[in-house]
Amino acid sequence: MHTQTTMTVTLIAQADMQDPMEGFVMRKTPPTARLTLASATQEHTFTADRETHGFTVTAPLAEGEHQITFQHTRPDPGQGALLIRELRIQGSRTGLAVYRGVYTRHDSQERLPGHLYMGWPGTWTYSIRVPVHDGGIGFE
Amino acid sequence: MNKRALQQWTQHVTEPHLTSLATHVWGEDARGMAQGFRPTDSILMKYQHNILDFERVIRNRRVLDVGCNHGLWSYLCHRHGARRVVGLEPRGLFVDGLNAFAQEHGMDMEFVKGLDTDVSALVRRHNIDTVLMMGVDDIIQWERLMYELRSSRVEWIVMQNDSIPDNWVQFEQEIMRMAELGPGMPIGFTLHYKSHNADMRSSINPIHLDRADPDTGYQHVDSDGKVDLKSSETVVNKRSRYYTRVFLEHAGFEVVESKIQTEQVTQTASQSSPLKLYHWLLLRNPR
Repeated sequence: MHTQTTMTVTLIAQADMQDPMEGFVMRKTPPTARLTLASATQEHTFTADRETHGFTVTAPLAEGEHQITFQHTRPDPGQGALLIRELRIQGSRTGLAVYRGVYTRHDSQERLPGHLYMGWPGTWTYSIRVPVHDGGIGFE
Repeated sequence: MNKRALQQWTQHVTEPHLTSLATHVWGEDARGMAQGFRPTDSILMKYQHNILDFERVIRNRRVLDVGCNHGLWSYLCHRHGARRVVGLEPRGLFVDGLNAFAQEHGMDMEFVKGLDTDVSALVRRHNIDTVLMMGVDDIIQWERLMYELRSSRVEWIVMQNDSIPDNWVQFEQEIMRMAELGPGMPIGFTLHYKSHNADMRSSINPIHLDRADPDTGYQHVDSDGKVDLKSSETVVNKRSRYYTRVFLEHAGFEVVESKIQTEQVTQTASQSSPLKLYHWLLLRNPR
C-alpha cells in the first residue's frame, strides 16, 4: 500500500580553513559542498572560516534503503575542510547515529567509517530507511 | 494491512492535526512527512491493540500516557473520546511542542516534563482513570510503578510490553536442584542488554540524568557540546511473558485481556515487532 514517503534531511556543516597559524586561511579557497537525496540537491559555497551552514533537501522516496550524500563539489585539494556537525532526519536530531556515515576521500578512495571531518575533498554517505528510519525518527 | 484500523484511522486522524503536531514537535522539516502521511503496518497494529480494542477504557476517561513520546497516542486517545489526556515525557522538545499543539487546537490535553517517578503525583493531581503504558517496560522499573498504581484510584491500565517468549531460555540442571532446596521453580526471567546511550530513550538513564540535553534527552554530549563516548552506555531489561503475568496478578491486578502479537510487521524500526514480541494487556485495578 505504501507508495512514497516524503523525507526531509538537514545536514549542518562547518567550513574549516585549517591552519591560521601558517597563513593557510589566506591560501586556501573556501569549500563548496552539495547535499543530495535522490533527485533533490542543495549546494552552498562557504565564504569564511568556521562558517556553519544547514543544507536541507526533501524528496519523495519509495520504501527501502536510500543514500544521503554530502560532498565537496570540486576536486581541488587546496580548498578548506568540511566538518559535519549534525544530521537531522524529518527534523529529529540523530545524535550519535551520525557516526554510521562513511567518508570516502576522492583521491585515494579510502573509506573512513565514522569520520565526520572531511579534511580532503571527498564524499560522505549515510543510509536511511523509508518509511521508518531507526532511533525515534518520526511516528513509529 | 489492517483495513479496519486504517478505516478508523482515516475517521479519527486529520492531516492538518498531524501536520501541526509534527511541526510543533520537530519543526518545519517534519511537514513533508506529515502531509499525506499513511500509517505503517506497525502503527496500525499498535493503534488496533492499544486504542481500538480498549476504547471502552479510554472514552469519557481521564487518561495518563506514560512516556508519551511524540504524542501521537495521546492525540488518538483524545480523538477517541478521552475526557482529558495528560502526557508524561522527559524530553522538552516533545513536551513543549505538544503543549503548543494542544493549545492551538483547543484540545483538552496537557503534557508534563517528568519521569516515571512522577506518575503517582500526576494520577492524584488529575484524577486519572486510565493509564496508558506503551513500550516503557524495558526502560523503567515498572514493577515499582505497578505497586504504586495498585494503591491509587486508577481503574484501568493499558500496557504494551516487549516481552520474551518463555521457551527462549532453558534452565540448567542446577536450577532444578536449587528448586528442590526451597525456592521452587522460577516463574520467569529477565534478559539484560547493554545498549548505547545514544538514542532518544537515553533521556531516562539514571546515571547521567543531570547531564541530559533538556530538549532531546541525549546524555552523550559533554558541557562543550562534544560527544562523550565513555558515558554513552545504558542498560535495558526485557522480562519473560509468564513472569509479567504472574507479577501483575501478584500485585493485585485483574488481567482482563492478554494478547500476543500475531501480525507480521515489516515497516518498522523496532527490533521487537519483526520477532512478534509485543504483548498487550488490559488490567483492572480492583481498588
